[in-house]
Amino acid sequence: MKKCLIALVLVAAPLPALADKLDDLKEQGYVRIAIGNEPPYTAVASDGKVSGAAPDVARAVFERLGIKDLEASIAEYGAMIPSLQAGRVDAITAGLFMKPERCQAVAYSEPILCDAEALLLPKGNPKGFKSYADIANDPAAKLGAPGGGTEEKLALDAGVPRDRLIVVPDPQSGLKMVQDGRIDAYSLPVLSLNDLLKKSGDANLEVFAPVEGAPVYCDGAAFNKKDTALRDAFDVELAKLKESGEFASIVEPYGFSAQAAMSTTRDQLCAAQ
Amino acid sequence: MGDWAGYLTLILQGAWVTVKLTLMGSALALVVAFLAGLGRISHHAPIRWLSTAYIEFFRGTSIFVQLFWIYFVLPMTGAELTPMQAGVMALGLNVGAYGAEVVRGAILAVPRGQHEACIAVNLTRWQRLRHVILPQALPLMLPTFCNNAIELLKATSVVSLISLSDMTFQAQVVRSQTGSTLMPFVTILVLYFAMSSAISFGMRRIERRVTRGLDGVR
Amino acid sequence: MEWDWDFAWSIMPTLLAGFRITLIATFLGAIVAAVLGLVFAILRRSSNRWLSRGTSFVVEFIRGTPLLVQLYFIFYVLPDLGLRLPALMAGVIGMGLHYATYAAEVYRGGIESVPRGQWEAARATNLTTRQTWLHVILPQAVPPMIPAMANYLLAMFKETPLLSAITVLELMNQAKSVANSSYRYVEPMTLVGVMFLIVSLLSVIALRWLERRYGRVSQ
Repeated sequence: MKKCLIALVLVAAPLPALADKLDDLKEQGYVRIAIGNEPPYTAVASDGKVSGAAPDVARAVFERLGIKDLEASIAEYGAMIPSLQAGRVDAITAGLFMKPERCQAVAYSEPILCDAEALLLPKGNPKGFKSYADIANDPAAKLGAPGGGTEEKLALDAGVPRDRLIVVPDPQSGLKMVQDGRIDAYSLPVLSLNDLLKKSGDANLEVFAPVEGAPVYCDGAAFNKKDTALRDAFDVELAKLKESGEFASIVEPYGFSAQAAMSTTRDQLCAAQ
Repeated sequence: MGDWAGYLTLILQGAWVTVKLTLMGSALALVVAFLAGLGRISHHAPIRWLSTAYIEFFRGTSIFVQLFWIYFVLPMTGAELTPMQAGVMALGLNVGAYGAEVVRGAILAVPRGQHEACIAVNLTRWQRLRHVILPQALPLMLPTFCNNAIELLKATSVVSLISLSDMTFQAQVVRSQTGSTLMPFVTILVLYFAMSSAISFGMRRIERRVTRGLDGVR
Repeated sequence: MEWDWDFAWSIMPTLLAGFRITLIATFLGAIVAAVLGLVFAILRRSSNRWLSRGTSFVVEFIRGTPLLVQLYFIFYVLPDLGLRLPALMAGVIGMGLHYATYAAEVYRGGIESVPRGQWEAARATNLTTRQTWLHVILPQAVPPMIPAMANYLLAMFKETPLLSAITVLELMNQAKSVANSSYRYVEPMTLVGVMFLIVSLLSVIALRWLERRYGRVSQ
């Protein structure tokens, strides 16, 4: 049975490239996007409406492209690129930061949201963690990070061993695990941790930012490699959005710097090591 | 906590997805269970092998693996399934494999004499099954089917891992947005329990109907 | 998208490390389930009505709600009440508690399968309670329980991937983490499936043997 399925996969391999994705989406009237469950990148209001910096920018751009609706589905970071490749979603707008190996896997738009990395720690940072290397050097320290996220990769690269790097499914769980002392630090982008800490109102925790030695990353809307035409159309409208100042008025209330995104390019970010 | 009533609505929307998954999954499981269960006692060897392979495969690999396969790998072959279809398919095929063994067991539990009597009075295979065997086997299957339906309900929580917005998933969303852990989880625990109680209650009603008139026989 | 043997081989050590945790969790969970199940079964037989009814309700509640949610509850809510368990232990206790409710049913079925006459005969020959249980009831009640218990052991084994939701690095979690960094789902997920299938098929053979050896308890 299993063998049959594998054979099936091999035979039926690449899907025929759709003639014009943009026209299809226009006709369909909505675009399916993957988002994280991580304010302020993404927020879900009590009525179920999706907002947050990433979906708001995507909504504005797709509207200009003639696609009125977003159908957002929340996914873990690790599941996003496979979802895109499996055709489950048309784009990822989730704060999925551009890194060279991700640029290999998906077609990114120009930069949208930029943020540095941070650590959520007990008040006063008792163990004095300032970088991922500090955590790697303390044999008792445990670090939490989202599975498949940038932080996980940075921590592994800094030498934090797999068994001390806990894969945390969502920010709320990360917060809880720091509060409960299950992990010594939880790493996410600065704005996410600020939002998380503010919402929890916990005076016994603090955010250390930026993590030393970790670069500032920018995300972009990520498309399937075969949808570069859609990506190019997205880029054109995104550029107009940035020029008109509307971009800044969308992302700045969430705390993101529009200037940071406008002063760099996809080519730079994808080439960076 | 803020807008708790609003977030409760979100959880209730998830509850509706859970109910739909359970109903559709059970329907698929029932059909598959009878097909594979009857297939296992078929006279044709290839049908028997196929049924056995299906049952052992779906009982043997964990439902999580099946779910991830159907969700992430099947689409690459060109089979386009919505997350809902993928969820129903995984749940139905998985629980159906367990149900098939129940069907087979119940049919084999009908005394041999009944089969022989049917042959003696010249009933066709279909008549035998429809009028003699199944009416006696069905009451034997029902209690286990009830358990299987509850297992299926519980298994729906797993689809939250492929980001289908069922009740468990919505509870996670509410948890992220409100920062409260206790409330969403307690709420869904109670809701799940209410649903499984409803299933047992409904199944007992059906059981009473089906066994009516069989009391003298058994 | 195609199957890459080199990649599949390269991730084997990682997956096997996860498989080890899966086996440990199953084994420990089974012990918890066997012991707690006995406790539930005894409490349910209690002559104190409140105790037996209370136990019945708890058992029904645990059986009627998903293990995944129970695990979330144990892992994320209990620390608020002052009980902080390491991830693996939380998982073992969660699985053990869940399957204890199934084990309790098996115990009950096994004990009830001993004919009434045996109890009466034991009393007639003036055996003490201890003697009755040790020499009459248990030797007859235990063998038919064994296949049913083994069945639930296998079921529990297949539910261990749930532990990935509370950060235990078992087989499924290792596979996901491999998938996350390589963006390849096919090889890790297939290998996980194959590992589960191998264990299950071996178990099914063992189970058939147990059933032949000890017969089946009708539940």
